[in-house]
Amino acid sequence: MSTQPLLTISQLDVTYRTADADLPVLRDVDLSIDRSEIVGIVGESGCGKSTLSSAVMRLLPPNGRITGGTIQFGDRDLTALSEGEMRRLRGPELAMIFQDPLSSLNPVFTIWTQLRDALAAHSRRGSFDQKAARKRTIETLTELGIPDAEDRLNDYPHQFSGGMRQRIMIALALLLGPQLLIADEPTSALDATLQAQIVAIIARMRREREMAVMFVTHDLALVSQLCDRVVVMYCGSVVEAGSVQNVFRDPRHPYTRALIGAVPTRHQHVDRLITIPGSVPSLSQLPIGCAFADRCTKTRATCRLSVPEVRIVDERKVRCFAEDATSSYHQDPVEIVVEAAQ
Amino acid sequence: MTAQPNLIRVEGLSTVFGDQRSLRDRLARRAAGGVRAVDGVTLTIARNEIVGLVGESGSGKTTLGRTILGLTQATSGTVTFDGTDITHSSRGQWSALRGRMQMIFQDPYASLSPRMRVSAQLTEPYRIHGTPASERYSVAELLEMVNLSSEQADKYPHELSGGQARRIGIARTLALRPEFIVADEPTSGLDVSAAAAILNLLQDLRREFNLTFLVITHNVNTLSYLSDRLAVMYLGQLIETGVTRDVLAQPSHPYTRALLAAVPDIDPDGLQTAQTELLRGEIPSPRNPPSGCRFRTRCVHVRADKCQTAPVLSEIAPGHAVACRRWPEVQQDPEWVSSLPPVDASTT
Repeated sequence: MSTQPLLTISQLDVTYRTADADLPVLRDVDLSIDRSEIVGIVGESGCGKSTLSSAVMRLLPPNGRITGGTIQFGDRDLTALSEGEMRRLRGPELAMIFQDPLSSLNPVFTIWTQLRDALAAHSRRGSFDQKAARKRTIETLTELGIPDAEDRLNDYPHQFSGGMRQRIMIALALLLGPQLLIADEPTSALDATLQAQIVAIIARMRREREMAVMFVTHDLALVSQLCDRVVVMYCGSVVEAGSVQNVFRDPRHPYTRALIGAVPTRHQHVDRLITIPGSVPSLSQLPIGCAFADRCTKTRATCRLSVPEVRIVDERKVRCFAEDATSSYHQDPVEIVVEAAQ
Repeated sequence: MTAQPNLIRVEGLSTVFGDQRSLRDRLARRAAGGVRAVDGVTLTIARNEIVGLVGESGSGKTTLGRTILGLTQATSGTVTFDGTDITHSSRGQWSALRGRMQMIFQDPYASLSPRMRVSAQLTEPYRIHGTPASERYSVAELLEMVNLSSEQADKYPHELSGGQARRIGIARTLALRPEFIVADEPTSGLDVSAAAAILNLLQDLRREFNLTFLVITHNVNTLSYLSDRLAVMYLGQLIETGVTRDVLAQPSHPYTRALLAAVPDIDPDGLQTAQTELLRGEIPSPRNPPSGCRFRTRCVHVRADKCQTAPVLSEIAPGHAVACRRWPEVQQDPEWVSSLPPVDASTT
């Protein structure tokens, strides 16, 4: 019906207060997710991708504050909602699954007790039909590939394997029927074959339930196979965002290029993987200009004077001054080998 | 590379944990119970070769690596190192061998002492082995081998990044001038670019010091970059071995195919490759593995008449061995879409 995206994050700033300084963990982040779209958020540790998902859920740690920008979800600005209003959205509208399902489950209650309580908490007062909920839960668990779901509802979390626990968390999220699922490294702790099963479930749910997914991961290969669009983050900012086809076939930001070139792949033999010299700057000592300037092969004087604005180049957003952000990567193969400088 | 003699020869190696037979069963010579973590593995590694061992958690790959190095006692079978059977070496013999065979452990922080400076960690192997000064590398030399600056020598492990800690772990294994190194998940937990640097480093060290590696990982993409040959492990057994590009171009065991389909590869066309579920369920418990072919409970190609007895790893092409009776059908499977170019395109 409406052409407006489901989620629109504009100019979002998040700050963590520490004893020494206020750390700008997210700076000027723009992002949108359409209905039934899967958007991958990638970047190395410390780039702010998990903070971004916590900010959308309004689950930042106590020292974290949204210091600017808006998070528009449907017709509401999530940054302006009270905790009570937020609580009503979590579950039925926005759901989140985490890397470690065991830490999301209480070890002393059975799976059914926990699923039932969560479902009851989110249903209107007095209208919770336990029998119907149990039936729906069994159906969903079965659909997600948990054998003998009816018997297993009475088991405790430790009696399930990691892959099964993650299915239970996804089942809980799905039972509440959210429009947006935020998945924060949901498969990083799982074996490859289990990861593939979980990813297949997420892809299917998107198709069947038109659920949008914000998929936070460090696995670029997975993003290239699962997502519609990709958002590359570095040091708390979005450096490149566009369709998976555009970004992976022809990455324009030097960081995106290096990141893709650092991943070993089966379909192409390379003599040497790309590595990025140096290390990520500390958030308490961010340079005045581009945060990637010290590690970049394309740095010029302007890069150190101010933070580049986001430009739209070739149907994707790029935050880079470099000339070749406007010319194709493939015309400049010299840069493929960047040596480690340590 | 094939002209090089085998440095490591593993024959029928088994490692059984927790054999809890009663005395009566022992006296009656009943078959050993317990978990057969490694079950009859035969594998050779040529000098200066990198062999990649891939499989899911619980497949026994770490146990195999540890058993080859004698860190875990073999239950049966033999390990031959440089022509000598080392399976039943005495303590004294092992301590002499340790310097020649080393392991890079999975968790670098756990393998470094939190209370010792980097310099002390690097020279600790010399103190333990009583290496004469003339045969020792200096701390600066060891740091240089792993591309770290000499400033790192005074740091404690908690001051190091994950990639740096990993390098210190590698430098420590190099101190005793080893010939053979088992690297267990050398890039686990590292960021993309730090992982790439470690993989490049392992390649460089192999060339520079004529090293031989067994690299253990669950990520087959890593091995496609790093290893000369691949060995795929499932429930304690090798189910496919061969030259890396042969195995990747024509995986012939259903499990290898399922594993390749499950590990995403960068897809520049963003085709959203349908994640076909080639594999059902989870890896069975090694305490009670399925009878016959161990993969039959999850296999899409399973046939009652062919899979009731255990298949043997046998050669289907020069240097390419598979433990599956249905490999010709598996190779013909129209469902399989190889993401690889024809073999000759990747020949170096």
